Amino acid sequence: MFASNNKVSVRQVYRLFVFDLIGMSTLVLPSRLAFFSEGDGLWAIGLGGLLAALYLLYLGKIVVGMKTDFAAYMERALPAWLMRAFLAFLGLHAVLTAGFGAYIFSDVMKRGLVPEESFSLILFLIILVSAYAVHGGIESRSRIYEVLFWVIGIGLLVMFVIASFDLQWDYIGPFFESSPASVAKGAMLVFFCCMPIFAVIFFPAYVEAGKEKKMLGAVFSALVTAIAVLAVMYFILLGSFGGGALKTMRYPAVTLMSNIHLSSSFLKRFDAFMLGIWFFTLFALLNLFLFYGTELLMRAFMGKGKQADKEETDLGAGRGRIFWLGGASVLTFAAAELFYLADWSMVYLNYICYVGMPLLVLLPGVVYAAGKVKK
Amino acid sequence: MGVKRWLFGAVLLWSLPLLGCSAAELENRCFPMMALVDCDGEQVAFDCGFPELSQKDNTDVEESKVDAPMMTGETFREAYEKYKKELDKKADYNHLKILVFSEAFLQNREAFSQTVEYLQESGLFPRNVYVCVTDDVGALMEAEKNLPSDVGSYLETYLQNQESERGEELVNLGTVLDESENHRKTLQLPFLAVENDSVLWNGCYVLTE
Repeated sequence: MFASNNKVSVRQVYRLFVFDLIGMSTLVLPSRLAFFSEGDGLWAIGLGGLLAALYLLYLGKIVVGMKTDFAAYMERALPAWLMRAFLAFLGLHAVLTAGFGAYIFSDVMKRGLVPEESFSLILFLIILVSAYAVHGGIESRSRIYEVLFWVIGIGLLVMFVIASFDLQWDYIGPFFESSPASVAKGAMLVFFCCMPIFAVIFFPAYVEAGKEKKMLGAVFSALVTAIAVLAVMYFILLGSFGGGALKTMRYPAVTLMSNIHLSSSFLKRFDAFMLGIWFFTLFALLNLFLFYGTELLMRAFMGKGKQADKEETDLGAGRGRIFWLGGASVLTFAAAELFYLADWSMVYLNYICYVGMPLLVLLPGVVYAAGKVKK
Repeated sequence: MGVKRWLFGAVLLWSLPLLGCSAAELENRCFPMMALVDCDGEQVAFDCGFPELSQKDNTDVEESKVDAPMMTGETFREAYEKYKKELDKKADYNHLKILVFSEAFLQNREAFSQTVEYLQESGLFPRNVYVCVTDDVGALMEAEKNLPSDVGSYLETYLQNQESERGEELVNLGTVLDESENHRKTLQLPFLAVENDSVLWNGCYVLTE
């Protein structure tokens, strides 16, 4: 069934990135955008999408110029200690983001499906399954999401169509009443949710040689798709709940489905059914960051040019990789528990705003320039 | 590889039974179809209407019956907590169809605001339950004797049929909760009256700020 060469097709790249981008953004962003700018949240989405597109363009130039993936380029371009430091930072950032994704995932499942269950148990099982999926390698994951793409897409479309019948046009707007600073804050949040496109600089290792430009085109298409889905979702949420109510909701997209009153007893818990959309999209996001957390930490601590069980790179198997996967999973679990118990969400968002995002924007350019200078 | 799959399967199997530990079994649950909120002076009163389970649905009809009196409290939350203690089963509100406020309760703006705030924070009732008003909650509960099913289920079907005939839109709890934040629309809630042993949609109650 698989080519077993640890390579994915351009179509699979597109579908993987769509899943990675729409999970968190459609779930968490709408209430924050309504908080900052209500009706003008639509402009914030457009502006955030534009920023993400420019960021992707910048990363694309680097990918084409590197002629290899970012980790391999760092090995050539930087002294060993600096490469390890950068890899360790990126690995820990990936694990922290995986932890945030796992926290949101477990929280949504607990609130929407199994409110009486223990958060820790839900989190443990989710991370366990995610680790198993990551262990299977990128090829198996992308094949699964390739198959699921239309299942999820049709589910979202059904949700939009049903919700559109209950739109309250009085609730749409107001427009052009928010300050530019509020719209800019919303745009930065949209940009934050698009940060998974950073992974594109590692993707040349997983696509066939010579297909880097097509891969970048696929990621750009995924970004456009995700922004379009987010804009439509926000418009529908605004029209269904109104800006005032929307900003008080934790997961308004999930609440949207519980608002629907279908006559007869058919599909009484339609909202539970539609939770499947976010199950798979958040699962994809968690897998992405758990995967990179494992790979980058392994490279950082195992040294320049070394990989555990190098002969096993094709399927991601190998004792060394399992050890690092286990370690990254434990760190992810710990991070998610901290988000839940100590309410570290604001700490994480501040880290992203003042440290994470600036470094993820500057780092590829700095490393690329260092490599050019070294030549 | 075989050992790993076995290990993974064993861990999953070990974990699965733990998922059922804290859930209430079906026979320990009751399913209110209608919730009533009234005001008696300064006290808020809360009660629920439950379906009668036929012999074919439940082998022990006596055990399935739910009998809890209307409870009062300073606030809706207090009345609800007292009512919860009176019930000998865990109430599952996922199937709730109708939420009825008495006219007296709606005129007590403070009590109504506190109730809306509590329902927003707790998510106690589903957002898609229909919200109605009546002037006599006791008469509404009594009318059940003459109805083919429990009041909640009957009213849901009746209101949906009337909605299309009258061309008026039913209001659900989600809309009431959202409007408490948006302040953009004037809601018109169906007014229920009991006449000649039947329940009728008799005009609308305008919910003002």
